[in-house]
Amino acid sequence: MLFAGNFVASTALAQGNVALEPSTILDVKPNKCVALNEGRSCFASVNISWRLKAEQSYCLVAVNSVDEADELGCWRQSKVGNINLDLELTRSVDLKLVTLDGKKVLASSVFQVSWLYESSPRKRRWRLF
Amino acid sequence: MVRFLTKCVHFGGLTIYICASDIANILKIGKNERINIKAKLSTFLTAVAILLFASVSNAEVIKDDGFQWNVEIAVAIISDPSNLVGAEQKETSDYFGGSLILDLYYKGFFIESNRHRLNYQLQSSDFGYELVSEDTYDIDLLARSYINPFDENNAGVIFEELNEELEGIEPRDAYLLQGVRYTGYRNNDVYWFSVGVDILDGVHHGWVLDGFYTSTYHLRNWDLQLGAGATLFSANMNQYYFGIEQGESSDSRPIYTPSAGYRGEFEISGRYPVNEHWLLTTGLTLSHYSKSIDDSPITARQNVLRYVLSVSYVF
Repeated sequence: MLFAGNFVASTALAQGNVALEPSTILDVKPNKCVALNEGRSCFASVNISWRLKAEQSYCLVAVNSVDEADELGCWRQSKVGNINLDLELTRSVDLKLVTLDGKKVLASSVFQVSWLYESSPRKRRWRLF
Repeated sequence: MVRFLTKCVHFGGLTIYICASDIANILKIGKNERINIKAKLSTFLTAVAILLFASVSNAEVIKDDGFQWNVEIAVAIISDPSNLVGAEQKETSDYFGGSLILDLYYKGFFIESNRHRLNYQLQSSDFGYELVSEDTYDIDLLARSYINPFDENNAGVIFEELNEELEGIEPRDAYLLQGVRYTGYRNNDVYWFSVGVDILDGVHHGWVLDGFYTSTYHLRNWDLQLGAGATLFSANMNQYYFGIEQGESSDSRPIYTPSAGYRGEFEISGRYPVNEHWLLTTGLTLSHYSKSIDDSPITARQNVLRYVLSVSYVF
């Protein structure tokens, strides 16, 4: 799934002021991706799995640093689940399981995007794109 | 750039060899430092010339005043049969090496390794001054050694070991040629053309024309790079590096006076960021030398295939 730069405006998902359900797990493997240069897309095949305290309906969303969210999938009356995704990202995102109305975060995890070389016009001399 | 092989530490840019087996010699000027002293003189003269030129050049050119640097330490497995006689790798340790690569930029002045080539870890650094820097091209004053130095104890990737087939030759030093380079940037392609002339050292009064074109393809997190180019050496430069003078000649090494020659190269390489600090690099370079170089008594082959697999720590 490609969701680099095409986030949809979120509701309360990105506000960070909602309580997190305690005994839930959202596991992302791998949970980081390293690009050669800052600003370059980073590609990763990830497995996201979760286990909730009780069966309920929810969506998996990715929220970027400017609070834009992209919906990756929704499930109805489910307690556990997993999904394999091909990610292409230029920045880190928060992966969150949220209720269908988007008002409650059930679980959260960070997928980190980093790079080897910082972006610098001058350093094009030394670095490849 | 500092580069080191298993037996020695080799300051490539300023061409200083330091051997682990004899650290005490670091401060001495011995036989093996002859290369280095001349190179340092050349470097100094070139730096002064560039400084003078820069000071009288167009003052309206706005430079990025920021001091910028890049440091990498690389360890590598290198297969490099070299085109020089007797410089083939024999022992397992000959295949392992490393480099400390230092790039600096300040107000237009730079010391840099050519990151667009696979062999940047093995080549001496370039010194220069940025005359023009636009989005699509750079024009630089450049001081560069186009051929790695060698002598009877240091040839190819074999350092501090007597090469019996080169025994008795005069050292071929790493003289920096002074010139100009145009570098063009187009999408994921980089190409350059440079001319260098032995002006300041006046050792061989030779000249070089160098051109290369590289294209980079992004395959997920890999960069795959294809490149090809050629370097044309004048007869004087060929004579200095591959000619045989009377005093060097022997029964097995007759006097040789080459004409102008060339080196054509094709390269394919890949780079992969292992994490935020480690870079994996691998690739092949095929070098083809002209007949005038291949006919020299101190060269062994016309085609050289070099393979490099390295990991670098980027600070």
